[in-house]
Amino acid sequence: MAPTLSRRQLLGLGGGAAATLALSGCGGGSSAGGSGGDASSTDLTWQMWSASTAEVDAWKKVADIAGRASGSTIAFQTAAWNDYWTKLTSQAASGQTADIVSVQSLRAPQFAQLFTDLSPKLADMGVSESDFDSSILDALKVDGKLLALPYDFGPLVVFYNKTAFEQAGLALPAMGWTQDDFLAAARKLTSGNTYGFFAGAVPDSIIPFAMSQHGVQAVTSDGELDIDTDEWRDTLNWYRSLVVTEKVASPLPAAGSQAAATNQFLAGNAAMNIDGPWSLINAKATASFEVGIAPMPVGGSGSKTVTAGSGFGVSTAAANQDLAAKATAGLVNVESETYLGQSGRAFPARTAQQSAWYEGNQVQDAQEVMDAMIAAAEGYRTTAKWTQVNNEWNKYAVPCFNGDSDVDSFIQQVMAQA
Amino acid sequence: MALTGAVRVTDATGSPQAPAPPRGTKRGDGRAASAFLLPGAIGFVAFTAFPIVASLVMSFFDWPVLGDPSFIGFGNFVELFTTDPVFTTALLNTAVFVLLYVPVNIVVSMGLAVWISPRIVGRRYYRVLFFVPAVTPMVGNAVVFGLLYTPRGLIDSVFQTLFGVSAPNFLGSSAWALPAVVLMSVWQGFGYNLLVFSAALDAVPPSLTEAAAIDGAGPVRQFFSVVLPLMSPSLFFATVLTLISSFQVFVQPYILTGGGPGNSTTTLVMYLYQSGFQNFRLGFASAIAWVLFVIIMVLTAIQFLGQKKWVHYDQ
Repeated sequence: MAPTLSRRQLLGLGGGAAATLALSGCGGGSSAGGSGGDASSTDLTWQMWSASTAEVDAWKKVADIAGRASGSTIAFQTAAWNDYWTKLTSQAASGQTADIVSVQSLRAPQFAQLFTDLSPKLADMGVSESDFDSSILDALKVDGKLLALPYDFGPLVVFYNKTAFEQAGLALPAMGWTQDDFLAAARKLTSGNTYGFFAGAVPDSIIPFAMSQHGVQAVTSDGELDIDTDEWRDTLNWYRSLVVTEKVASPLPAAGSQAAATNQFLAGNAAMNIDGPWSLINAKATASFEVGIAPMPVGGSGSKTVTAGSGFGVSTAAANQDLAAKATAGLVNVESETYLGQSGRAFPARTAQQSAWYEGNQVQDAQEVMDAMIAAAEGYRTTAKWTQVNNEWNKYAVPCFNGDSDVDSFIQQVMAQA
Repeated sequence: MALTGAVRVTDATGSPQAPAPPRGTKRGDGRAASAFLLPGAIGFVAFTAFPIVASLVMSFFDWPVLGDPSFIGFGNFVELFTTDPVFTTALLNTAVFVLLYVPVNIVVSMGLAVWISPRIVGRRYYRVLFFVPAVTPMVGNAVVFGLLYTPRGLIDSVFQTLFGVSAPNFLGSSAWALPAVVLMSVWQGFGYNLLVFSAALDAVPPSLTEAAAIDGAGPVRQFFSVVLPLMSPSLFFATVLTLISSFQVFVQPYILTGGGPGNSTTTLVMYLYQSGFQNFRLGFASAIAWVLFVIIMVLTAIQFLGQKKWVHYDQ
């Protein structure tokens, strides 16, 4: 008798097929992430944050340059800045990171365990440390391990509204201007709803002042968070007074608005702001006024600041460590860095290629300030829990700088993250 | 949904020759039923049951994202209720949010539902208008409210024009931040309850209010003694759902204030998120989730017990 299927059996089969479909649907896409596969393959993966299609195109071009230089094929994976760190963490938890991983210097201690130490490989990679700015190279080292090769960096400096300065009849801030000059200018530029300065609630806005006033960072050279000091108390009280007593900076709007400083500056609501060269080209293109950069005003310790930047390193999970290292070197070779500098994507960490940034973007006038501040800068030191420190800092700086609470309680809350 | 669908299909089967068999379990139904249950069941197990069990297990571990988990028994719960400084604040903030939000939401949505319930001109348009905030994405609403609240924002400008003084720095002040978050949430959330109440009002038979009017009851007496008791099942439904959702408040403080200034708008779910996804303490975050679950469950159970006294199901 020929086997026939009853309607019930057919229905059963149908249900089973549907289940299989659902299952395969769920399982799709698991091939993402590199590191699997054999060590002889020349296919590599590289993950990097990006904010626009133009940026993605630029990074793909850099991937091509590095691929040619190292004899590999580099697949580019990307996510938006905030998602990138969440994605990296969850991928790391399941051992699925790409072969080449991008990291910002401030987050290097947090992700240190994901990276291979590049120091012993530098000779094979054809890389000489002396080609790179030393402060950013140091910032990408954790416990003596070189986690990544830097592609960009920059000192935190003062961005100012040149048009507003000229309209107010003020001398433009020049080399050697002091904190008294800064305060006098801020007073003159404050009227009604426009303010002289934007007092940001993030550590980046304050650390350069602490450096210039007392030569201290939030993290000591031993890697310990320490702002429970007289020096920090003094700087924080001075900074707070800009909002509370001098009223040359607007009350802080809300915690969690990291972009607030840049936006207020670009909208013309605050005439001065602390920022880095990575924002300069966009600021010049966006602002309806002329944007200038000035050195940190001279305080008790001089005109000092910190540098931060980002780089690329090899994941410990990469199957072919040597090839990934060579490709990483390619991502920051002379050709890549010249391209990134010229197109305004990055202020090159390779010192010889920095001229490409100035010339390619008509920002030669910034060179004097940049050179001086780079020379006077330390690498921005952070801890493995810097994300938490940053969050708490941001949340408690708002009531402190608005005058709702005092500096001591701010210090206590931030130090709880040590 | 998939489960009931699958069962219904197997019930309706039967070979063409045989008359419909008597009800009861027939051999062979089981396999087909399982096959149809499978897709739904896999989804349920993978995306609901497993995560619930996993989070319960994780709440007894110190579970970092990177590195190995270690069993610590009730350690996370003990830390929450004894040494952790933020949890008590988050619990208190959530309680304040619920106590402000739920009554205001119910009163506003009920008030507006009553206002548009008579045949006023453009009633249907009002309904749509009031429902729009509830269907627009909350993130977008929060961003817009952030701009309204900020110094030099719309509210501040109006204050300066009308009164010559600045408005409070709503999101930057520890005293104002939570009320500002509540206000935004009410604006976002009242439309849903308004629809529920509006439908319930329409279902009240006019003969009852007319009879009450003939007996001499004024509009207020009619509302509280006739209409409201008839609406009590809807009111109960709306209160339970609003209470549960308000305990889970997250997006509003996340976008508007980031939990600050200080911890003044850190709610339980906000703290859960920070613990799990910013500080990467997954076990600790799971413990918070289970505490929240127990709180919501107990309060909902109390509401269900209490409904016997005030909810009327027969008309």
